[in-house]
Amino acid sequence: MPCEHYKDALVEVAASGAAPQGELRAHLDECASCRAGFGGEQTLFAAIDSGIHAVANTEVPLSLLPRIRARVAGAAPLGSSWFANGPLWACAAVAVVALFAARGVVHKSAENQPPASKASSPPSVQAAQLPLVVVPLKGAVAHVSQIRALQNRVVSLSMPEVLVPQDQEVLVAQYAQQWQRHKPATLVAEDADWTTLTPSKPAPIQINPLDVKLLKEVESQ
Amino acid sequence: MQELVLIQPVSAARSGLVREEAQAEARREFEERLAECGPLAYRVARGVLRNDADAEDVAQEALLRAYKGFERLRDRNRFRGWLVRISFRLALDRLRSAKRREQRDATWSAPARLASPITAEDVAASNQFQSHLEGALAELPEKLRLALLLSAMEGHTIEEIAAMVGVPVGTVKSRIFVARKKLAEKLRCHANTIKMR
Repeated sequence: MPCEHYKDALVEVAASGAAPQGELRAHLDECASCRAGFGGEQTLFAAIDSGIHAVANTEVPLSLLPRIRARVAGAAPLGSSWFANGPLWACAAVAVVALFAARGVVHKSAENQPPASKASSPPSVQAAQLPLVVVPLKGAVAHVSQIRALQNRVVSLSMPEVLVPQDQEVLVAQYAQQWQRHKPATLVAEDADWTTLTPSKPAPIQINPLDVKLLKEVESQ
Repeated sequence: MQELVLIQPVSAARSGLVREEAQAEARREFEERLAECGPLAYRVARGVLRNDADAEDVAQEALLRAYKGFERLRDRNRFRGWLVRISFRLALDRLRSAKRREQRDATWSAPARLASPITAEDVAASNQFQSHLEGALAELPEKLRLALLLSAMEGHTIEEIAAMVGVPVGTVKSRIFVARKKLAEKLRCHANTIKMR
């Protein structure tokens, strides 16, 4: 049988790395040129494997990991991506929607103003005065009260809110945290001499007399 | 007048603390993965680019991307495969852009461009077959190249490669077999330069 017939099969066997079997084995035993060719193929594949191994397992520079660590340290902390602050964005979105809705209600009610009052004054003055005097804010008030009710419900579900000066926000948070953990909170005026302290006397609040007018009078004016 | 802000001290402090702890934990975990898989990212990039400096750049970029997306990775056991795919993709992008740049430069400065002469020392110093092999490897289709490189890298099993690349085991075997045969076809004419070790 011609050697050409076995050529492809021998290449396949060399590529797979297996030992030739049956008819192939018998042919190799009796054909010196095919044996040499098969040997050459085995050498070729061994060289390819060795070369690939060298390429794939090349030395890693020592500077690689420190440089990556430096870049990672310089990057934003994990979880600081925009969608990680989901609740914050949700609140902002609700606030924007509420703002637009309230504005829309005000505009709508401005359009419902009686035509007589529109005719009596120039448009620019009219627009400036609408929300203050004439506008029936029934819808808007209802809407705002709904939002407030919703806000109150959200607040009551979580923790109480406290008004603090801006620069003391962190301090109060830390104090509350300590309190929450049942640890004795640090007293700022621990060493103060309480005997020398006198109760403060705030000046009485002065309220200017209110000028109350009936709505009818305002309209006639 | 002093400006006041409305806060929820306990819940804000608690959520801040929890977030910080989670971040620290994720960072610790990433650090472990970095030490384990950093070299792999470099080697994948090096296998594609055949250039140490470019490979290091790509590995850094890949790991930085992996860091940024680490919290989105639900199954952390898949980090290795994920990183391999990022590195491979980035390396290919860089290779393509380098090729485009080369073509553009060649178009603009063709007459002035001359191949640097190869000295006798260069020839003696280089392993000819290895350079032919690297050239042939670069011409392999991407999928075949990646499978072949991973099979020779860090003793990965066929199953591990299948998991990393996201294809069945049989596909990996077939890719490796075809890749080796293609390389053999290209390198048969250079078989006389094989340096036996």
